[in-house]
Amino acid sequence: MNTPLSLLFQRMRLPLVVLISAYAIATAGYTLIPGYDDSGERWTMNFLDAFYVVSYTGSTIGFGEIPAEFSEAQRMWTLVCIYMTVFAWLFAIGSLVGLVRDDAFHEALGRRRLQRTIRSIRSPFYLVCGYGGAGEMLVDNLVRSGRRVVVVDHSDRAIRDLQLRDYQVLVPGFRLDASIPESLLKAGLQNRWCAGLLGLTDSDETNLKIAIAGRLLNQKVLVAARADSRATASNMASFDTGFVIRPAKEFARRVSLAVTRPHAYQLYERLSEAGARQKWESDVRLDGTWLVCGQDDFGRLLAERLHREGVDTRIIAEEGDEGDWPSGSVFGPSSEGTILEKAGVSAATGIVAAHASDAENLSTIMTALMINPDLLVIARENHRHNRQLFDEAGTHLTCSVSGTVASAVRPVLEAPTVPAFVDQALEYDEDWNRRCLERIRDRIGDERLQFWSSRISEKRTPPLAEAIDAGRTFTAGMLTLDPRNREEKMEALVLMITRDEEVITLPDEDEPLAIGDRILFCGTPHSAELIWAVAVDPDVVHYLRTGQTRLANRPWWRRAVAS
Amino acid sequence: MNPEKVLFAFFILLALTLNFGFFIGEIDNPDHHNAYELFAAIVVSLIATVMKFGERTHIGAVLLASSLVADLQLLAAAIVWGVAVHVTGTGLTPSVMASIVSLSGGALLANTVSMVVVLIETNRFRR
Repeated sequence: MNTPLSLLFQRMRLPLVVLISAYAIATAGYTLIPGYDDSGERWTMNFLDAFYVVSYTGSTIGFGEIPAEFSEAQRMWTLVCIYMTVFAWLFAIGSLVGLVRDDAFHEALGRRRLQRTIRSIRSPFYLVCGYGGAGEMLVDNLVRSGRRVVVVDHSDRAIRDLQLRDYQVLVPGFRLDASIPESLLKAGLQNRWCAGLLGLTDSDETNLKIAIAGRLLNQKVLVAARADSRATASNMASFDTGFVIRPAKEFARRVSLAVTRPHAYQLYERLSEAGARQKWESDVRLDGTWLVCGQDDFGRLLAERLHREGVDTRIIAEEGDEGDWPSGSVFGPSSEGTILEKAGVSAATGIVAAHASDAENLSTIMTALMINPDLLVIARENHRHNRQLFDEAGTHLTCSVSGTVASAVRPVLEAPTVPAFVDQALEYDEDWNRRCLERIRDRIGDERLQFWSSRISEKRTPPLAEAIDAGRTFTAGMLTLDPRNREEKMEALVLMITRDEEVITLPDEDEPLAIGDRILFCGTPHSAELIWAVAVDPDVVHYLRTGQTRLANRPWWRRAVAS
Repeated sequence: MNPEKVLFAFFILLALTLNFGFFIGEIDNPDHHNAYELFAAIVVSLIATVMKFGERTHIGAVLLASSLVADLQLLAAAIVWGVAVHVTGTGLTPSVMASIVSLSGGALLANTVSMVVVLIETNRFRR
């Protein structure tokens, strides 16, 4: 590694040698060249005088002719010295200035500074590789939840974008190639505070390399990676990558939920906060034929899924053989009216534009709406900056790819049990999902959700474990009461309790807790901080349980310990 | 042949030989030790130090350290000389000369170490 200091010394070698030589020649010259005093006696300078003269001449101070008036020969030599030393200085200073402006030097200096920043992070941080659409959204989200993030991206522009964003905490950004393990190490993969490694680049190969490096170089970190192809996804799953997100699959899941189970979709959207609400009325008829336009996995997986759910679907693909595609598929550009007519757009309920190009999607939507204005429109948004165009085009549900990825990854980072809860919730019927959504709305309103999990044990929550051990009842509902005033409920909700093999989703308020329970909360960041009091303060536990404050009865030294 | 390596070895060797040239002779006899030779030894030693700047290998660090020691010793010798002659006016008495030459003797040792290290490195490189 090139440290700034060694780079400085390397570059300054020649200028310094020139400077030393100039001084040496000048000094030696003065000791050799004779002068003559008033009586015509010959004298020469000693080294002290010579070096003195050279020093004040070289630095352009110019005290005059010391120790005695110079002879003509000495003056000639002084002329030589002036030009020699002054130019040697100019050369040295010029090189120094050039070095400061040098890109490589800046790079070395910048990296050194960033590494120092990483070493100074004293709380868990996430290493995000790839600062594209998904990476940016995820970093935004994590920073807003108070997490520290370190970003690695190979492009200059991404890092500059990062530096220009206004985050409350410093987010160090490295311009490094994440597919090289050494880059990840430089960015702090083996730092003891590194809590997670996220491969969100747009290349499957790079993401795979990141996932492998994460597994091999630091077993403690949670590795989450994006995989576009099925092969990469199963490859990552084969070596136990913590969480693999496949955008096409997630897209299919979201859209099929939106089409078949509106309440489940609303709950899913509330929990993941991808910013993709349905804009159709709740009483609109969703059954009927859906057209899915798209050539790649997004459209295909969605059509398969909808078909399984019993929805009548028809694919419009750019090109293909009848044999490879489900029967009834139409081939041709979906942005052309004739092709849409052929697929039966005038009789269809809705259309899903799932092309890999936003221009294609937009033109498909516009053409389809011209033929059938009552059509429900769902769009795949590939680039975030096209959001406004999709809104203007009359899309009812815009599902952005980066939003899908970021919103799927974030809950997992906050609490690893979130996917289990979501899967469980989706197995219940619409009515359950509606009630769950209502409970969240009652408690938290439309505030930003954060997930966190905790475990009831002697070690993690001593006061709570003590109370339960003593046979006193502490219910799930008590956890989310305000520790300052029990009558108030906090903006938080217990989503799930995992007890041995048993899983209780959305427990009732009076569900008693037991030792070893793993509790999944959701709520506002503020309430998350308050709930910590339960884990550490016996007085809070006592107050929440009985409604009596115990603090006033205690001597002050115990109070100090308790707080 | 790498010109940079030639220059590098040249300065290290020259620093050693000049140092030796100044050091050799009766330790307390000013006639045996020339001021110009000490001056040249200091200048070459400084240049040799600069040549070793920026070496990031372990051996480079040892080289730089030994070179800095030599500079320090030679500069100390020059300062003793200057102070004795011009400041206190003691002149080059045998005791002053002896301390000057012994300081340069220390520098000679440091320069020898430098040379040995360079030889070892060259030898390792051949294999």
